[in-house]
Amino acid sequence: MTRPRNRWRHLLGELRRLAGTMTADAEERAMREEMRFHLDMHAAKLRDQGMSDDESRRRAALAFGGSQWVDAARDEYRSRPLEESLRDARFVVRSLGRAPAFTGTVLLTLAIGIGAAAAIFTVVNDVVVRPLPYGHPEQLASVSHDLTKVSLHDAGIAPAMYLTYRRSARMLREITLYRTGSVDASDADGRGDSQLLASASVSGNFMSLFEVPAARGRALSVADDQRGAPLVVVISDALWRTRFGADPNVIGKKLLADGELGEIVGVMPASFRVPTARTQLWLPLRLDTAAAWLGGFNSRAYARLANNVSTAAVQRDLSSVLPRTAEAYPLIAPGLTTKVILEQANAVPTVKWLRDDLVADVAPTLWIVAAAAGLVLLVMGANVANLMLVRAESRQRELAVRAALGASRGRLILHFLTESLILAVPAWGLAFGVAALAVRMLVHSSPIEIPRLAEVRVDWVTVLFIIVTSVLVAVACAFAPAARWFRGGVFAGLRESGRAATAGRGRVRTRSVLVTVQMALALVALVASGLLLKSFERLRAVKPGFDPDGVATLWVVAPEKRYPRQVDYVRFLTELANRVRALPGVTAGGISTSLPLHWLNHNKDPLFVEGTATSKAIPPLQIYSAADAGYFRAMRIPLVAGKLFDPAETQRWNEVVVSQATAKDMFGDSTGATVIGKRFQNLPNGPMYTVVGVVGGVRDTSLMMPPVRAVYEPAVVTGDTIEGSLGHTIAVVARTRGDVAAAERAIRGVVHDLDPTVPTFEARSMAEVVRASTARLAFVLVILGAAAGVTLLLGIVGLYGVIAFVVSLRTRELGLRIALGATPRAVAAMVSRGGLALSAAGALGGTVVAAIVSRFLRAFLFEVTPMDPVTLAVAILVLTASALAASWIPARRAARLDPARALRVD
Amino acid sequence: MPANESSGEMIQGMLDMLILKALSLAPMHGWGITERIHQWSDEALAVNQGSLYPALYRLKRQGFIASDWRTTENNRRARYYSLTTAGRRQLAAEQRGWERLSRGIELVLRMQQ
Repeated sequence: MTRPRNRWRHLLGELRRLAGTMTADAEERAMREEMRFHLDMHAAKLRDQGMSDDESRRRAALAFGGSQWVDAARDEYRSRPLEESLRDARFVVRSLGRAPAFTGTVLLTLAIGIGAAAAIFTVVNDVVVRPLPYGHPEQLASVSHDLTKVSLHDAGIAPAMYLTYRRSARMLREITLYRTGSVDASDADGRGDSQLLASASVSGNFMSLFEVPAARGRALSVADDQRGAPLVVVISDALWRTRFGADPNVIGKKLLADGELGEIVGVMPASFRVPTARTQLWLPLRLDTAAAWLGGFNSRAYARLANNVSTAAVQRDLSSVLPRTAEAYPLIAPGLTTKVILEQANAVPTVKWLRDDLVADVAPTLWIVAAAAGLVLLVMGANVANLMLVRAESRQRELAVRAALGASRGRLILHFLTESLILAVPAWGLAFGVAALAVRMLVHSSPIEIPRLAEVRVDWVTVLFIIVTSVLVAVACAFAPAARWFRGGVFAGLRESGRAATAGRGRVRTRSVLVTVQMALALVALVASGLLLKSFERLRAVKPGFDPDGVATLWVVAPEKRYPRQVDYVRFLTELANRVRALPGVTAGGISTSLPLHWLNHNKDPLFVEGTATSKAIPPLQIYSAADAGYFRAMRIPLVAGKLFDPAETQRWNEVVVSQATAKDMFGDSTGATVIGKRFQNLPNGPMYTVVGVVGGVRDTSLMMPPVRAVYEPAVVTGDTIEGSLGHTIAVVARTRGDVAAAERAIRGVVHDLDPTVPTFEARSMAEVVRASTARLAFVLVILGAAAGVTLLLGIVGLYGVIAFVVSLRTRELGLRIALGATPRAVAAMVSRGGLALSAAGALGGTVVAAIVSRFLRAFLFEVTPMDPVTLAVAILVLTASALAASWIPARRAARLDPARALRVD
Repeated sequence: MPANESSGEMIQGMLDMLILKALSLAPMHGWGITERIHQWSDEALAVNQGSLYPALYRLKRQGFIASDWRTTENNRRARYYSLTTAGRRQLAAEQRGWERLSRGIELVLRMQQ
């Protein structure tokens, strides 16, 4: 019917019709003339039959009917495709209304699938893709260093390097240095509660580098950053609103920051989220460029790059000027030359685009979640296509009749398209609701920390995504029945309803393909969630080196202005630990500067075993922290050799406890027996420490990583001359027999009784800390598990549909077989085989796809390979078992067929 | 619609087919088509004008028929419709389709007995 010539003629007709609208009046006159002619002829005929003149006219006019059909004729004359579609649409809406179950299922499926995909798309788009809200964000980058020889990645930047780059690098427009930390802030008069604020000490050009002006007052300037300049601070929008109640006169107010009086000169806008979204206070770094040594990798840097340079080119540029650091700043730390650090540790500059750097941690998680959403969307799309097919099947005679009565092929395709588009439109609204809800949930209670999450908004991009996706899904879904329809021929519907015994192969094929795809995707989701589940189980089986159950933790900050001398400070801590240990139900308690699996206070320093200390070679780095004996007891970190610390009053400052890993790697004895009494330095000409005890290894950085080398220094009262090994931020830990939360409250009470000005924060049970460290894996596991559940369920439903359909098509054939002596068992087996064949094809395809995509999961896998055979086998088993279950119901129905009745079925 | 009372509504596609069939012999005006179908069907089928003219305009738009103004034997101006090549093909296709359909309907009816 669609031969080219005909199409050409049709086109000509359309053109003529288009021209016709311009001469509508002429056409209208012609039409009226034609009608008048008709009327006259009818009247003449009646007159011939002997009727009177008047009577015949009256009868003819009566027969002609009212004027409404003239309007219909005019409509037909002028009708345009749009109007045709509208007529089709009215028809479709009516017929969809008559099938509420179908309509509801499709709408819900589309809404959930598209809504979930839109939510994830919105998050990924806003977090990973959308430009940062700073001036010329495409030029912004972070500058850090990998110390490759000592396996230290992303180690930051030493001030000496920063100064060198600032002076010599050619591809940097500007570079700025910063350090994150916390500041104990209180009102200028010293009254009121002090508050621990997340702070950033920054170079004077920090804010101008981002090209962000202050929302109120002014940003920090280079003048503020001079040595000896009076302290000025800039506060965040959030701090301004909470602490200062959005006071418009906040500029010029004073603040005690770590005991130094500073003037608030500006408020940054809420969109200014560097270095972190949590930063509440920016203060000038006031770097002493003339200091004897400018080492330490505890600083970080951002840079604005020259136009159109790649990060690789900038890295080369920085690498070429890095050696000059050794010339300008020969000493990087006491007793350690810059040259040694650069050469021995093999410092390599790394430059990352700021956007990538911000989301580097979370991007893999988000992409996996996005992939899961895409998978669900695909499977849901296949399901809707399948439902549309079923619907087309049930209406095949109606459609065949329409085709036979002259509805063109295009018209039928248009009909399918209209139907799926009409379903898609209300799905937009529902999907938007689902997306808005999901984004809201994610933003407000994300189980994992996602940078830029506060920037995530459901906006027109989301709407656009929903519309584009749903139209694509609609077109794809319309294509399925239309393609099926035309491959079978327009009149196949009529033919197939005849009494042929093997009818319907063509009808089954499209749906079989869809179901196979669904099964394959379900297998992929099953394998992915299986791999993660196995990783998660392995991870939970890992012994972290301590016993987290029943341990309460709490952080305290002892402000320097109240405890300027180390002695007073340690006395405070000792008293605190003693009182905590005396709490009812507490069996052990202590203090530490760091907690396992926690981000705070992990200092890394080298360790020179006695006799090996030269400034020529850098040994591998260790974690250094400080603790008392009670900490090890509370955490149940076992003592392997030697002894734990004495009470602070009698403990010698230069005695340390080391971890088993240190004993093994640095002293060559994992039992620790021979390590006791050994001595070492942490700098080539630093003080000498003696090992008094060896404790079991602790997974400090991640449950996935083996225990790291650690050195524990003691808390001592007499050590006020020692370079502070105890920071002013300390964790209190207590093991309790009772309720952990109650113990936390009790510890807070103890701190408050001891000194009400000391702030406490981050009260968490150790079990929570452990859980938080696996939160990301758990999150991905839950998402992928849900995706696997949904895809498997939809796959099974699809499979059930196809098998049941096949049984209904083959009723006569099956009846014949039973009549000829086939056992019900054999018939059931035959039907089930069909289901198994589909799931086997799906499993095969799914295995191939899983082999390709499971590599992307590698970052989340622990002690499991991406192609773990057991996981794959279990996934295939689950899929096959589900397929069997899905085929069982129709198979049983087939086996119980009454042959006499089956043979009579049309 | 009085003219239609005794003969039942005609399905649109069927009407299209009958119009094409009527025009397959010779070009004809709307009134003539009504009369021709009426006579052929032993007066069983009466074409309602309300369906006829919309159908004619539709068929013309689809390129199956063409129209021009001629003078009748009684010397009146009337719009004559004639079958195009595409219309001839369409008629053949519809006839085949109709035969299948009627066979199908026949089957259905027989089964119900």
